Amino acid sequence: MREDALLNRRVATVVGWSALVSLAVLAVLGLWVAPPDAVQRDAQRLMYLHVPAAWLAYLAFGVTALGSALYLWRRTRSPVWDRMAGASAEIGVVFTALTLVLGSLWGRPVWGIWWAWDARLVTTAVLFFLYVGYLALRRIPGPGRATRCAIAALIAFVDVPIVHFSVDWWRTLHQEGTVFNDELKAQIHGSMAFTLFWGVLAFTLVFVYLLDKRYRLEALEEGREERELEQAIAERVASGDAGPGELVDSGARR
Amino acid sequence: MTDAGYVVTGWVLTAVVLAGYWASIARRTRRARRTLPPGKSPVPPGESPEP
Repeated sequence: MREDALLNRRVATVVGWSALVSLAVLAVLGLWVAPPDAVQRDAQRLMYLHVPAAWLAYLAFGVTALGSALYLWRRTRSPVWDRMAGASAEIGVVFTALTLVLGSLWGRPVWGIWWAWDARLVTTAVLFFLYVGYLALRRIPGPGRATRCAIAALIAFVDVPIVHFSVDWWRTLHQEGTVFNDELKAQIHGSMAFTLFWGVLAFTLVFVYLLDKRYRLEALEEGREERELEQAIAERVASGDAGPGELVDSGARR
Repeated sequence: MTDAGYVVTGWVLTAVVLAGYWASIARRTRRARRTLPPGKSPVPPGESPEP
């Protein structure tokens, strides 16, 4: 795998434009084509963003966990996986925050409240703070940084299934899974189902595009940090403050 | 606020977050590239070298 990018230029451009066009189509479908819900009326149109944003957050944290596991496994250990994990986690945090805000905007007209201490909402908020902590941990340099972060990412990922199944495990204000729920046998209008799946597809393309961009940034920043570290070591060695071995041991990033 | 108000707020907010995050990555990438020593850039502006 290439070390500085996940996608080549052409593929990245195609994915980027596809994501943009898909989002534009989603807006048309979600705001005009899909009919209003029989009970929630137009407020339900937020579902076409809220559900795909939540899906993207799950996907991003799944990629972070996968990258972390591949980094920890000695046979596949590579800085590529560490960068991918970090890049994906940041995207996941952004979309978890968006999921929470969109859910709040949807909850106000439907539930009559902005927030409830509901299992789904609370576990999602916990997920957000867990990965904010993970991103903070990534910024702390020192020996074993990537290993430490990979372990933290795998621990944080435990909350993802808890978020997902919280609506089944506890009595919640948040509705259960609907579309794939065999017990509910929910009847969803064809254009509403299509719009929802289109939203998931569009947000998946957005994720692939952003992951490539964010990965490139991660590679650039890592190179910069290493150069700054080498420069600092060289300056201290030149000034006679410490031996090179001592500085390398204390300053190694990974 | 009406239902439409919440919906429009949600869609506009999503557009702002997506555009803002994309712009943030682009800005940080430009800043990181500026710190590269001359001739050492692994990623020329706009693209990476082919493998």
